[in-house]
Amino acid sequence: MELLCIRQWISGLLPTWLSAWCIKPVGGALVRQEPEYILLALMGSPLKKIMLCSSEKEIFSVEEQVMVQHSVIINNMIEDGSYNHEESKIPLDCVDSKTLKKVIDYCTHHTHHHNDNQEDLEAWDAQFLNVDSNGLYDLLMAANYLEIRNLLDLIYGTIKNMIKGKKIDEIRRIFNIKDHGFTPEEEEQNRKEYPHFY
Amino acid sequence: MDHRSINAGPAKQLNWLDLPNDLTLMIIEKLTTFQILTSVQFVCRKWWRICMDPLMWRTINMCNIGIRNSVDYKLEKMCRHAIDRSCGQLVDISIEYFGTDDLLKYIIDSGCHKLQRLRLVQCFHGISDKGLCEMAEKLPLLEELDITLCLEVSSIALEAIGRRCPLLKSFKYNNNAGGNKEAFVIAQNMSNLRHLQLFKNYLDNSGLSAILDGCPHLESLDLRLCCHVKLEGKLRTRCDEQLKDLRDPDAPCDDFQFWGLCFETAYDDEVFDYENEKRAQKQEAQKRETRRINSGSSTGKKNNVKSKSKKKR
Repeated sequence: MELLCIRQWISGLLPTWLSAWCIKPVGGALVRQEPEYILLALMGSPLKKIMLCSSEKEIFSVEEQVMVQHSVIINNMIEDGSYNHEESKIPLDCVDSKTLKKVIDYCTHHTHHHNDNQEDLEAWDAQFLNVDSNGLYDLLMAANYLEIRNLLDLIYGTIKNMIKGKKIDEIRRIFNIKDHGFTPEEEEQNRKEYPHFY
Repeated sequence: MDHRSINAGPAKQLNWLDLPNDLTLMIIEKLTTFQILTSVQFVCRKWWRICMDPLMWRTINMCNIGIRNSVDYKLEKMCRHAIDRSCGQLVDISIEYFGTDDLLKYIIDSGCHKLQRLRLVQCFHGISDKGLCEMAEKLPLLEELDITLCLEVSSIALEAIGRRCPLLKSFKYNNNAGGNKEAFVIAQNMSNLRHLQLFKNYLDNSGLSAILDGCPHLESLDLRLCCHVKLEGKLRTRCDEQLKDLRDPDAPCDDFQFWGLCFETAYDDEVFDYENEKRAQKQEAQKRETRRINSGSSTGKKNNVKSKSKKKR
């Protein structure tokens, strides 16, 4: 509660033109940020934690700044005031505990290690996405729901590499597509036209 | 969007067909046009339908497919399919080897007047001034144009493009030909240029001065292997002042994609390879047709099939 009052007080003191200069990364893009938040961060306000609740009703506590930087959805919830630090937890019914933990790992690592060199980050990302295709699917849905742009792009790239250069039958195996949905005549015609790709 | 609760049970086999369409589109979009048209769209009906979405065809890239594939597969037919699917929303198209005037006309006739970026690479003798002039009439939004090794394109086309495409900001003309005539045409007609590449062009200092005069917004200029340009004295100073990024005539060429293939002394090999392969394919097809016709009448002739040399790129 007290944070809101401090915020309003500071915002009253700052000139309006300052807000044009205040931007921060959110979900991989840069968005306008109220100057009072930046000032508080600069003043070294205690690391605020938020509670995320998975579909299995497990609670995860994570630094607010970490999630706000990466997830557009969580950032919006906190900014529009619908999240009360004292009481609330953010329910994420679409994300199970295992996936949520991974998402939190990703966001935390990228916030704390954003100054690392590119190669190290890429190596960490590759290791992070070394999961089976079920896990990848769940991560994709979670990242999409939470709107975490850089994680989404990473996953798209990984899936694209799983498809690239593979023959059609193999792609069907990898993605467990048992019924392709084409009529037998269509399938036959397609195979005739591009036999080398099946 | 589908917000089903996802429980990762230990032995559950997920069917990726359940992935929402917008996410599937984001993934497929990252693959090349060639991959989409030969494999991805045939994986399942759902992906086929997604591959029919005009959103996926705003960019068509048919470069870097390789000579072998370019000859073996009907790339022009594939490209026309892709253009059809864009439903006039085409914004960016790159064509290598199989570009022809007819294809350019097809792009225009399909209503793709929003084209902003056009790359025509190694089309050798397929594209002429006439084709480009007619195309330029209908491309008022063109911003980037790359003409590399389209040997029949001259200053006539450049003038038409300059006149009809006032928004042109980036132009590459790498034909291992052209000189002051082309430079003057660029200077007079492409005044909005920010980026210009004239790899191995034969312009000299007067052509360069004309360009600097006529293109006041020019930021980057690539003059590698322009052996008649002597960058010294006032001209050098002027370049340094006006331009943010200048590649000297003797700057290293290793990051120019076509350097090793075409612009060295043996560049004719690339044309030779492609045209040779095409000719061999055509002869092969004709022989097959003759055999098919004769198979009913005469006794089986011994098939004397000449083996083609398959030189991979």
